[in-house]
Amino acid sequence: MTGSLPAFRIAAEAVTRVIGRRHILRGVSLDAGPGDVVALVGPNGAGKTTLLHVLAGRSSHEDGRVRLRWDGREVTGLEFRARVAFLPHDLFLYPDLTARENLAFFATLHGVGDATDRVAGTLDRVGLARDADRLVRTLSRGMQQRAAVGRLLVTGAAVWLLDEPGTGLDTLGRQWLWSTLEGHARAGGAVVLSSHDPAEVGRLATRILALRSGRVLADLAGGPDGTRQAFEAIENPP
Amino acid sequence: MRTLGQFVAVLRKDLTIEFRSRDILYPMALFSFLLVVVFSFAFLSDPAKARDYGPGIVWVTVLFSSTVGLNRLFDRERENGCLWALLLGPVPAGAVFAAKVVGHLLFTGLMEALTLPLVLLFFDLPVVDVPAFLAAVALGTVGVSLVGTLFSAMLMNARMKEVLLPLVTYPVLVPVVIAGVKVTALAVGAPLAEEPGPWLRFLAGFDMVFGVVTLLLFERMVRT
Repeated sequence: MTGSLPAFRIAAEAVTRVIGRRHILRGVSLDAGPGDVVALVGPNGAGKTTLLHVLAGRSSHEDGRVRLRWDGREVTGLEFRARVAFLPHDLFLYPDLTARENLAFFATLHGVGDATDRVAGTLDRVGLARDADRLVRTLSRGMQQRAAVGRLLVTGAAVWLLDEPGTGLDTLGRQWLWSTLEGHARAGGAVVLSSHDPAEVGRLATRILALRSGRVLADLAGGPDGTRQAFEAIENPP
Repeated sequence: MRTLGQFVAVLRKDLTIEFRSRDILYPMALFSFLLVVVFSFAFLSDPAKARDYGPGIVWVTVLFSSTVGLNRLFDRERENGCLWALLLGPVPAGAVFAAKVVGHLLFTGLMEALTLPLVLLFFDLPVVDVPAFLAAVALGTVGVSLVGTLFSAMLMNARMKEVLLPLVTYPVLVPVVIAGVKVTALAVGAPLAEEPGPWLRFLAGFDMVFGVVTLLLFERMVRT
């Protein structure tokens, strides 16, 4: 992300997702703007991943809508996809390209002008400068996760959607990830992430959505109290 | 301009991975070489018949070998969900599709450059109309790549896609093969009361129509 961002807001409005007869999401709403870190918490099967997929445009939805307002107008299509970046479980990296080649490829797709410098800077930032020319296939899962976060950084997208981004990272890696996400929010970006980790949610989230069986159980402000209440809500549903 | 850059980036990425892994080129080359050898042994006992069957063998080689490549064309996009990385990025689906088609054309073209001279040699086919022969191979290969790439993307996540791909692709490609065989037969001097021109125009028309249709259908097919 370079330069200052205009006002923006991504929103899911009463989104319902049905597969067969099963409701994966039931009228779920959320929104995020500059500086926000929205954490989605809930047990397995709560609908966190599906909500992220719907926000990113990877999954369709039967009812409701997803909107991105950017600088006072609603954006769709290619512009939406340039502003919103998604990091799912499957990482979106080519195993037979090096970390550097992967980042350079995605930088080119996003029309990044000074791609070489930007990629080198990003590799340094994600701690992969020394392993930049290794095939992604040969990197550890934690290093692959770092490269995948590098993909988000290099594209310059304002809205980051991350599905359990701490997966595969060691303690130092998680500290690095949290700093990176906080840095993105501080720079005016927005983060929506799913997590099972109260420490991660407590440190990062400015807002917490507790989900269960596709419903929002609680919509809380971030911080220690909100985190405790959110995890209590999903462990002891009404 | 940006779409062109994205097209080049996807194509370059595919070529980089292919020249590193050779997942597509080696199986294609090996399969087409084996095909030519087996056919030549089957028909060498009767040189007159071999000349009659030669044009058909040319197109069977093109079709079967290109199918080997088509089966693997989207494998590298399936791993790590990479196709979605493209579809969720600011890249027109048409740029991705065009890059895939051109990539497949390059692989198939390379395979044809290696094996078709062997077919002509083994089956004693003297090409008297070189431009018509080359035009038929080029236009026919484009048609195979367009239709095959679309179905390859559609079946990317299907079980038994190696079986399904020829089943859905070949019926659509029958007109291409017929036209290709006709022009090849005329180009090697078969005594037919026809001209290659109308068949070549048919192949060009097929490519234009399916170029538009496949481009329009690609995004819908891969997103569902």
